Amino acid sequence: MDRGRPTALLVSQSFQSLARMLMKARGYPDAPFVVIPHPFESLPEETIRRIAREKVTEIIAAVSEQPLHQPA
Amino acid sequence: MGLVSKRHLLDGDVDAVFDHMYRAGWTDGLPVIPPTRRRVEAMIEGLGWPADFSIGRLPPKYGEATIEKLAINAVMAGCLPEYFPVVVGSIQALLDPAYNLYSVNTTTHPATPMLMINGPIRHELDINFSWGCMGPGWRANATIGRAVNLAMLNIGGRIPGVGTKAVHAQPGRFTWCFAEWEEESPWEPYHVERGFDRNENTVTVAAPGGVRTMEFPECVTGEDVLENIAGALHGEGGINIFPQFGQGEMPVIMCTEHAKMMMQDGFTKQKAKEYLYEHTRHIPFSSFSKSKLEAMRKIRPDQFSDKGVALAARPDQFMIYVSGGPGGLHTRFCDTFGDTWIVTKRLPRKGEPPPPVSPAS
Repeated sequence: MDRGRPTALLVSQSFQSLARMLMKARGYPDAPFVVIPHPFESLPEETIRRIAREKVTEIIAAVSEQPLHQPA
Repeated sequence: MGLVSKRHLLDGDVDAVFDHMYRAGWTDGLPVIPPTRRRVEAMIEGLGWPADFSIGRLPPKYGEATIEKLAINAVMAGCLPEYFPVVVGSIQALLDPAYNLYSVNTTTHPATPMLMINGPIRHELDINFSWGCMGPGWRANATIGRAVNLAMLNIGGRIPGVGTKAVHAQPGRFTWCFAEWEEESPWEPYHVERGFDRNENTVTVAAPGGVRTMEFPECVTGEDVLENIAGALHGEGGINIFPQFGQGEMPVIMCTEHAKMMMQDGFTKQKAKEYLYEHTRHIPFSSFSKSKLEAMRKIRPDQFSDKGVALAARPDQFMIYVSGGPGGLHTRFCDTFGDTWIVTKRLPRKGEPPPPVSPAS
């Protein structure tokens, strides 16, 4: 984002408020998030691939600057 | 003195003032001293640096830790102005990249700044290193640690559930500051081990998740004690080996009597660390579930042998610090957060100039 490149921010459900605080501190208060389930790190690869397939449209939308998700 | 913080004019008695501050989210839930202009100016005078000088920015909100803002939090915590150099020095140490304050503040782990003070300032400020040094009763211990934690809340945004995801957090997030009993330790003081002069004042910061007691009244030799510590640490394997992280340091806070028993047995601090390392190298596979073993083996294959899993990769991952009152043979062990390293910094002194360049955040 700092380099002006299209960026999709993937944030796990439980960390949305922290991510919002961080992005505000970095000067991007309205950065769109793609929200993924939490916890994430312990999921099997198969489930992670399924989540990726489900979220790919939102991720493309985020990098295309057409956010489907507006911050709460 | 040019102070820039917004002023709030509050009517009413002390209850109403505290209630207002609590509702505004500025406190840890305990009563605070209202940071009036006069008190904040006196606190700033305790170090003498310009009010607008910034030590750096505190994550995750990345608010500027200016001398003025730190002084406000130190007043609220109940500090005396002469404690202020320790508060400022502690924040400087916590901002060292090796400490990884961002992760310590935001993680789901209960990792919390633990401040350990060395040097003559222990006596000047009456910082407890004897009976009850990690507990209540000493103004310096209680309020220096509290000032740092209030700064994490008010400058860093360490708001439970928002800026920090600590699942339980821990009592150390109110305050955690004590000193080393250098005079009763048979070894060189901790800051001397780290390359400082004995007469320098230092703060050492670690990020334990908690602290447990290991009491071995039956032990008669130093090796006896070390053997039992190492044995107890086998149970720590499951929580200290974080496969997804680096390899942090584990503070071992030894009572003076345990330390003396070791010294009588010929253990230097280095030898004691090597003993702990050697005797925690083969935590049995049966201590872990299959999935955890697989995850650990992937990331730390070098810590696996055919006999088990090593708690540490190197002896110097054990930190030895000597504190606590005499009379009971207790050693404390702090579990680690993994992705953080212990940092020791020289404390600033009143009257000396601030560092030439404000550190970039």
